[in-house]
Amino acid sequence: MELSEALEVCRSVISLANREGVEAEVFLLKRDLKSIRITSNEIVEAQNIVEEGAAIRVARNGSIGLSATNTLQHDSIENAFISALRMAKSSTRIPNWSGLPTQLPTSQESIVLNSYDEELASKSPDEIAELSLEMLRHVNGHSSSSCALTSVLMALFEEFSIFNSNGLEHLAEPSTILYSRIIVEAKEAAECHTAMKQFCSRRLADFNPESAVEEVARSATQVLHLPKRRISKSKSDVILSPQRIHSIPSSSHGCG
Amino acid sequence: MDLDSLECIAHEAVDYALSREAKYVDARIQHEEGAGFVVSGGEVEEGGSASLTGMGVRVIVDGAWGFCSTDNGLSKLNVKERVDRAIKLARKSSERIISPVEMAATKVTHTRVKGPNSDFIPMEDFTLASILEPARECDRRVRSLRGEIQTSSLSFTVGRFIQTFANSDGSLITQAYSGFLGTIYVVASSSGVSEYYPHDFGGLGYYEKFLDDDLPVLAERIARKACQLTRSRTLQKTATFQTVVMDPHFAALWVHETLGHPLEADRLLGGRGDPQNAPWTYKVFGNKVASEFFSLLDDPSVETPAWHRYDDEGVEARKKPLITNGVIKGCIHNRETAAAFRVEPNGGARSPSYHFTPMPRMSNTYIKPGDWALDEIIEDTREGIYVVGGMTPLVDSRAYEWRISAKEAYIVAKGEVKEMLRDIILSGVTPDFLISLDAIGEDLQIAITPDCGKGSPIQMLPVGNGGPTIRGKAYVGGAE
Repeated sequence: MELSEALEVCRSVISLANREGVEAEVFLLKRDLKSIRITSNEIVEAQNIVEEGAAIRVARNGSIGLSATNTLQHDSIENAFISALRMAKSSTRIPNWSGLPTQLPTSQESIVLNSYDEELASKSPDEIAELSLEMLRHVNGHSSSSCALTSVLMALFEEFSIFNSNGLEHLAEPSTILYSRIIVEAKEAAECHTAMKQFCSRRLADFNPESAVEEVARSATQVLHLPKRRISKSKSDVILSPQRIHSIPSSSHGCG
Repeated sequence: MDLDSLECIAHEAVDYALSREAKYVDARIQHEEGAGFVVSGGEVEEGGSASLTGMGVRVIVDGAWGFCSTDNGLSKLNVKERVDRAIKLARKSSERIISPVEMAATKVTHTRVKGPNSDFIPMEDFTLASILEPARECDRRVRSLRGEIQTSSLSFTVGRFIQTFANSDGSLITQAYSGFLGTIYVVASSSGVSEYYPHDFGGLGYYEKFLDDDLPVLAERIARKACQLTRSRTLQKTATFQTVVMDPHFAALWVHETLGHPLEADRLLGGRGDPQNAPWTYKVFGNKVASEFFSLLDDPSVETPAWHRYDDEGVEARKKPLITNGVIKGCIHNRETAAAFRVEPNGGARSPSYHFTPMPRMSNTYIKPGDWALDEIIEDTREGIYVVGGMTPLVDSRAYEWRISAKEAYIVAKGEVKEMLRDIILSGVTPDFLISLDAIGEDLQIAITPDCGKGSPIQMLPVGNGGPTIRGKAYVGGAE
């Protein structure tokens, strides 16, 4: 659905709110996620998830009700508004409620700077798959040790619009994210080692599949040739690399 | 949207993909309505509702998978456009394919089924009025205890779901069910010690009985426990190896992390390329790993939010023996892993919505009860620790070593439950702990995990896990 059509449908919420004497806000979101998973040097999953929907927040005498729908048609939006209003009627009043905002807390044109890359947003699902294949080609050409790649490459485009009955209006704010988790496994005789790297950027230009794969493959291969030592358990000072620090919150506060 | 329309769209998607030379296609359409509240201190903090409809289409073209999902406007044009995207992705993937996708055969099914107790909850009846009084009753009971309660919160969500599945084998299956999920927690504080005590719950069908009868009792119980915990001591951090008795809820979390996930077939296949990180079950599949009185099952017919009659690939769900008399006998399959194992698919493919491709997932995974009464287990324990309720799990990528904190713990001495302990953590090595099990209780209970996560993009699903009280040996440490 084109943004103009979706906005036209959602604007009816504002007139419904005015008629009911309540405040209302619409958050309209479109997400397009392309995700390619490579395991053992082949693409095993290629997904394109397209999400589109609206969330409505109704404020009635300082009590809030929320509702969401992903069917952007007049009757569905109206039902969502009625549902949010019903929720607001039963919710507790927020102390010192000063109303829905009248303007965004920034004068910038874009709320988050440098968060959008048009080139990345315009990539089709099969172009993202092609980027994954490029990573594979670099792994295969890397070294004499047998290397296998397991990776997830995800490209996300989001666009949101927000407007309310107090005149706030911010339309079509886009953002992009490119995320990749690369695991390279190096094998030599009976020895096998893996190395992993995660990558996240807003822009396609910051992603260099060749160097990303090269770095991980080199790290996996290096471990193959290290002398074997057994260390007994003891208390010791430790120095954590930024990568290890990064993994601590996700391990101790759950994955995802 | 009525059932006929949903089924018609699913058919159209399948037919169109076949006309575009897909070798296999399945379409899943889901309509979901839900509403929920968060009530804290007897007042509603948040209330919201959602109505979601959408479709996911999966195709095999030239031996490779392609998938696309959409959620706004299931018009003919939109459906075709999404099918085209899935086909394009499959074609691209097929450029780099080592072994073409193979799926195990399954029965073609035409049916419409309803979940147990699932005459639909009229969503318009699920208003604050229906939950506020029971929630306030919970709060009254929590606050009547003492001044130690810092905060309490109840989140409660109900939903009703219609899922239509059609595939190019000719299956057309529609399942409809409704259910509820929630979490209640209490934070108590005394003399500088704060204790957080959460409890997840969920069920199928109507929720009134649970709200009116069970929830206030549950709230009072966990509030009492949280208060008692603040006045309890803990053990030293340095862990000691001892006899441990796990209650059914602690056992549930242990089963989930150390046996459930490692017996999902895609993980057993070594992540297809990362055998070093394959679960501990990989090397011992088909072997004896526990004594003969230990058996583990996965059963989607248990009436929890993980219930399903057909999985998300249209395969009839069934009880799956995973460990029988101590021997690993099977695992949880989707059609692709079943083909790799050369076995019949067993209906274990699940996904949280049409936005995700199904993968092997637990439904209700539990230890088969034995014949020990709880009292007998305690009386038979000379010295040890009794843990009640699992809190936070931590396992390595192979689920070989585990570490789980307990909500409550007690010293067991000379066959009696004695002093309460707080902040106790159990740890161990999975195969060693399995071998050490010497008592399996008769008191089976299934606990709800509302948000088990797997995959990338991550897929969050409710699962049931459980067991009876069990006794084995593990490391026990505290927070001192």
